[in-house]
Amino acid sequence: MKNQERYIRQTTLPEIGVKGQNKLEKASVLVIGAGGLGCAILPYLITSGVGIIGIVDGDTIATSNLHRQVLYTNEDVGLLKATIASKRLKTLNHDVLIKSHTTYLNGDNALSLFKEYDIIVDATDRISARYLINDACVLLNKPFVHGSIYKFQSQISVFNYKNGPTYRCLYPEPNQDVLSCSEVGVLGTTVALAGALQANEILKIILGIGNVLSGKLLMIDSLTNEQSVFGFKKNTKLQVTQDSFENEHQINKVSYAFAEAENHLILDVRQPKESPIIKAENILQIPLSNLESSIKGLPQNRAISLFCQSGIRSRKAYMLLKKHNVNHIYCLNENAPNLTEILL
Amino acid sequence: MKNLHIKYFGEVAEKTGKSSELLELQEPSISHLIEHLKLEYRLNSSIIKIAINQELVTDDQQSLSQDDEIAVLSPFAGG
Repeated sequence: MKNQERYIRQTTLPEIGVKGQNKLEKASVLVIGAGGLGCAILPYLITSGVGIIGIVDGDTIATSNLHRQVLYTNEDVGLLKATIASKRLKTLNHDVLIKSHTTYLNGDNALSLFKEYDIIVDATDRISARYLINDACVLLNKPFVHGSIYKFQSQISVFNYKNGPTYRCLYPEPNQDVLSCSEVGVLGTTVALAGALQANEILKIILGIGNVLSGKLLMIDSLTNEQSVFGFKKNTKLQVTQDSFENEHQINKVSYAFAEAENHLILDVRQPKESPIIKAENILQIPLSNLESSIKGLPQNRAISLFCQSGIRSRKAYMLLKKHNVNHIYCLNENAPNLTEILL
Repeated sequence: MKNLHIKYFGEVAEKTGKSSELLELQEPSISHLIEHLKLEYRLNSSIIKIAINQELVTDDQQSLSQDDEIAVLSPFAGG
């Protein structure tokens, strides 16, 4: 154990001891988002001596963040959150290795980032990010500690812990109508409470003590001080696969109407004689098998939207074009059978 | 007909304009409750979750009784 004196107040607890401190030293935690929740979670992970901490955030600091994102000062406005957070946090504890990733989490970087860490922390403020974090954690079999806020209320839970219920078991499908803090407002102390509870769950998971909030959703109302814990079960019908992950998080999709209005080149990646035959001025046919050798002939500055018979080949074509660094590619929501109806 | 005690959380409470109420339903079941919430408050039934006695339910046909503690909640986005 490093620096015995530094941690003595926590190692004195029989539940922790030197053994627990060694567990903390060996642990690695990735925090997604260095906003309100992140600023509340990170200092406690660092001061308690968690070995490696990663911070993912591509955002910059705004003046309107400062009332709740307490790691930042007036002078930091305009600078990257992940960079400044890591700079401040390093001064708190030299024992901890802090890695800042100044990028937004997306379907392309999530799996490679998550692989390096034991525990993933959801400190984001977008519903779509929660499904991305969930699905990546399910694929990699990692627990993720969730916190979210609506005005004075918070929800805290731990998903995918030891194969337990996931975020999708609680909320199966994404809904984009849900409002974030920047839209409805929030008090700094509400976020601080939620973040402290998340940090507490993280430490419990690492130390193997207490009851982790797996299969349980903790709701807190900071106006009334009421707390409720709701139980929920694993839905074994919900499966996350490499394919579903690719489809939902790695592929940009548009409707035919949008692609047409934006003058996209529409690429049919089926074989020439497949029915229904679809011909239009803006539609070009290059079968998937010939696509790689035809990349150089594709227009450079025009967006491309792909379709096929069922969506499988267009997805493969998408990944292939992406691999070859072709920009502005999309898959159409519609495939050949629907397109014939639209184009009639 | 039974008087059911319902608690609302987060955006759901915002839409109903109250944090709790006593409700009388024709049929005391989850599906009737959801139908009522849709009609009365235009709640999006695909995202709300209902808990009976602190357990979130997945079965719409589950019946409700007078002593049950019912809660209606939805996902939060903020952070």
